[in-house]
Amino acid sequence: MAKTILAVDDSASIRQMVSFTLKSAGYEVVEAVDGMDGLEKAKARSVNLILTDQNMPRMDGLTLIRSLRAQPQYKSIPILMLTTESSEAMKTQGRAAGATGWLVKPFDPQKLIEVVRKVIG
Amino acid sequence: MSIDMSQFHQVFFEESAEHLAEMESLLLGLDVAAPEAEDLNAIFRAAHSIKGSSGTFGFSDLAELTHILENLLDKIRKNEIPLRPEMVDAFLETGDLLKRMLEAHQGGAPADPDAMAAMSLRLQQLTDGAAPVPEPETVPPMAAPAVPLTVPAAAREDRAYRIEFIPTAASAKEGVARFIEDLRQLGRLKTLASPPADAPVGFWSLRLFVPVLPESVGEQLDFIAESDAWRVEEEGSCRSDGEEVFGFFADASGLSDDVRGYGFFDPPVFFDPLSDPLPDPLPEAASIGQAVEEAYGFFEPLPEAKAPAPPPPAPVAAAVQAPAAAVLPSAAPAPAQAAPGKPAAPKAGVAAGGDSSIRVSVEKVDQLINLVGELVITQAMLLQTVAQMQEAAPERLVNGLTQLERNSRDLQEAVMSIRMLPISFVFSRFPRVVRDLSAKLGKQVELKTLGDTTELDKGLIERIADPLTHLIRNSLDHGIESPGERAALGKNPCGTITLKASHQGGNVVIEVGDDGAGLNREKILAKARDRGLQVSGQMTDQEVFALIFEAGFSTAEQVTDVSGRGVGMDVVRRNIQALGGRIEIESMPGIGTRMTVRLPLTLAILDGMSVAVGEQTYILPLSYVMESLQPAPGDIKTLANQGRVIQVRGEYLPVVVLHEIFGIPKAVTRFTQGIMVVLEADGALAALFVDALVGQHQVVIKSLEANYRRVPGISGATIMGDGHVALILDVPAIVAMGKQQLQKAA
Amino acid sequence: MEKMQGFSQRSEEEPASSEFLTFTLGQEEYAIDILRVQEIRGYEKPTSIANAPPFIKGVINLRGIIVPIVDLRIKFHLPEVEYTPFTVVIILNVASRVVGIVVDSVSDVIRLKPAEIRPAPDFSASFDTRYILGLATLEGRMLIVTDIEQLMLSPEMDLLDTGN
Repeated sequence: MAKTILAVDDSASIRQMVSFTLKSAGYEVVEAVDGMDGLEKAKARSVNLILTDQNMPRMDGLTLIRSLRAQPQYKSIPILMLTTESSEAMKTQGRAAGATGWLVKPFDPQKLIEVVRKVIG
Repeated sequence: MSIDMSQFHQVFFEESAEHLAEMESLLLGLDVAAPEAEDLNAIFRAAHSIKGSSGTFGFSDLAELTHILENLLDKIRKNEIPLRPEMVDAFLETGDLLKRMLEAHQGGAPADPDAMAAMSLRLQQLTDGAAPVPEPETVPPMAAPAVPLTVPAAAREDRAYRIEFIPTAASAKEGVARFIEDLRQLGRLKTLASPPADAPVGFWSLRLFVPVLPESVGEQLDFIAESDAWRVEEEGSCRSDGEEVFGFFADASGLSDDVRGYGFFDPPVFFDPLSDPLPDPLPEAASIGQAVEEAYGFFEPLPEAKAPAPPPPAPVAAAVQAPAAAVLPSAAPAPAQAAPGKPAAPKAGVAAGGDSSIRVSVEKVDQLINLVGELVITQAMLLQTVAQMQEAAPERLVNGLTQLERNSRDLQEAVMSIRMLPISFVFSRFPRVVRDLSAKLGKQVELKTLGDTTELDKGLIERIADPLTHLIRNSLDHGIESPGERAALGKNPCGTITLKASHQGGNVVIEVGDDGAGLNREKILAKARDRGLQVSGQMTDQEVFALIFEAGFSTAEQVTDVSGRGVGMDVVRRNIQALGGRIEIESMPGIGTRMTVRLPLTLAILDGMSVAVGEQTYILPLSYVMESLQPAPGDIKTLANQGRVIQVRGEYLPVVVLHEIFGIPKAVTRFTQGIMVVLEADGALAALFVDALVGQHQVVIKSLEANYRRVPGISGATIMGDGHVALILDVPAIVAMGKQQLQKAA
Repeated sequence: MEKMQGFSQRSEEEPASSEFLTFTLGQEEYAIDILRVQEIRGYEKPTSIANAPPFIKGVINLRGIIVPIVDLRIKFHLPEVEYTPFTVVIILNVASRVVGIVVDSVSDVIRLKPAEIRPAPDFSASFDTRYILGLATLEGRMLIVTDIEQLMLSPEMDLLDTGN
């Protein structure tokens, strides 16, 4: 069965691109428009990987990661931050929040697939 | 696999335009002296979002400019630089420039590279030249006069050290507090990450600016944390993340994350596998070691490497967990939680709409509307057929059709509502118009808007914007006096323009009011005479004011750079009429002027009255119909053998005979055998003579011009219940014909 | 003549024949490009339009769109104009507009090679020769091959808003 990836981003174009790219690579993709939406969708179904943006309305990516890590079923699901922030401080915060890794925007579709393959095969 | 990125461009253009619009409206609403943290965050987010997407889709010019913009915005929202009015100006202009650049990418005229360079420079200067906001917490308590207060200066002399640790449970409170206090004595300290206030222990990340880091810091850390649960390192003086694209947080040996551009977090550095209870958000330490073999590592084993993740809870369980999750954000670092205006809370309601809406092309909606219109017609035809069958119609058929009628009406209403948008879509552009224009004219004007949520058809929204803009410009230019004049008159030097929208019956009413000088009756009359317009001293105020809408009234002399643009008020009125609307003026000298625009709710449906003339049926838009009456012998008088008038309630109205102006054969010619419909348009009245009234119905407006041409006296067409076409009368034109007849006769 | 050169050029590139619909107006038989024809239907009484020229019979409802109906017989001053159950309306698609034309009858769908269309001599057709692409012969009958799109868009048809 295809692995499911939850893509959380407030930008419709990025969501569309991520979703299209991952679907083309054979993954199932669930989209969420912000952290709050992402949390709800993650709770409503099981996913194998979460890709999340950092800066979003309602709930940012770090808060989403913390919230997910507090869910028993998301203790060990990989979470990647998609973010324009690549500073050490942001990485530190991401690590502290429980992220598995990061991917800096802008990125191209190939890079995205490469990273996702590394994580969930 | 190669993916064509251009397929995502349209969505990118749309969303970027939305972000720019949002940014503009937020900027215009900012109180420069005391900006709301929430607004600054939202403005930042808009710029940030455009930057992120434009980089991804290869629009590097947009990415570059938004990057500089975002930098400055970030510093402002973090309170590092105070917001100044000239920054708001620069941001607005940057927004304009970005809009042009977006248009250029969509095939419009290319944006001026010089403008972009100039704007980049200006933003950079604003960023560099701004005096930073003093940060009390970062100033050492015993700051000697020699210690520079400004960040850049401090950064030049000090080095930045990153101190990260997870304290033991024993020292989690006092020990850490003492340590942090000691660090503050050494230099400027910034907290990058800290555990929640109620957590027993947690991860700390600090940045200390000191010329040299004393060794004592390491000793102290050893005291409060296990030896492998702390780390101190000097941060590079310049950002090292320039090339990175993605990364896993990793304790990477070999390949550097920064070159590879991604990384995995690797816990060993931070998480003592021994005794310390880990803070909740951090996963268990069980995985340590096994992830280091690659150039990246994981906090936790990947799903394949470990027992599979527990299955998701059943829906019930999810529901039970929901309240817990709702509390979760409190696990965020204290600062984020304490700040009242953080992104999470206040605008939640608005943002929530985002995920429950979809983008649909207008054509699809219009197609749906057309199909539903067809359905309604078919249903009406069936009903008519059944009605002709009379007793022969089975009761169940009649009942079913009655039900169908209700359903299709509801369906039609629901489908029509898809096209309805709040008028705020138009109103939102006016703060900018008023701001720019009042600055240009040296006037002080406040814009008030009321009824922003009033909904109207999308087609109307698009087409009412220009006329309204013109009315507002006109009020600002000709209505509102200069601050000096206003003060001399005892008025508030700051004028007010009020925009108000509301629903009144089947209409949307939009008022543009100002508290300016008002219209001068005598001046208008004099000017109208100069221009060769037909005027008389007997005209009512309303009629005199309406003269400013006459073609040729606003002439070059009056057309300033501001309200002019070569467009007169006659064009405004014509555009509004073309939308099935009308405009009225009220004005009081010295008090102000109010223009009232009445529009139909939608362009697609109209409440109509059908009238019969000869073998033809015509539709009169009900909004123009005042009353109808059957003339008695002698009611109709002739003027100079040309114009005819009818006296209704003491007033003489011109009579327009429809079968005469349209040349319709076999019509009722005797006035006493037909009906006079009293119509009102553009402040004038006329009586239209027809054979008979047929009925009232909602009709779907169809364009006559799509396949044919404009016809004088006809505004459109519709399809009647029997499938035949009926033409919709252009009432303002008919009333104008009546007026002309009278003027000719007089 | 320029038009004819255009045709002969096209014949070199694509010698394949194209389809034409033929119809009669009085004594004359016309052929028009079948790609311009949307459908053929019986005549129904249109809703008349005030002050329109007599050859514009009015507008009909064609599945929800308003379509003007032009009676070419009136336009071309044919002596006998009757509306019978056999009167035919050809619904055309010209320049993304839909227009109906009333003709006496529709006769055939034929194939013509470009070479079969000969230049028209300067004769007096029912309308301006500008809209005539040429003449063709079919089983001894003469066909007037007409550029129906240009004809319908021409100012004399009065179907378009002129400038203002």
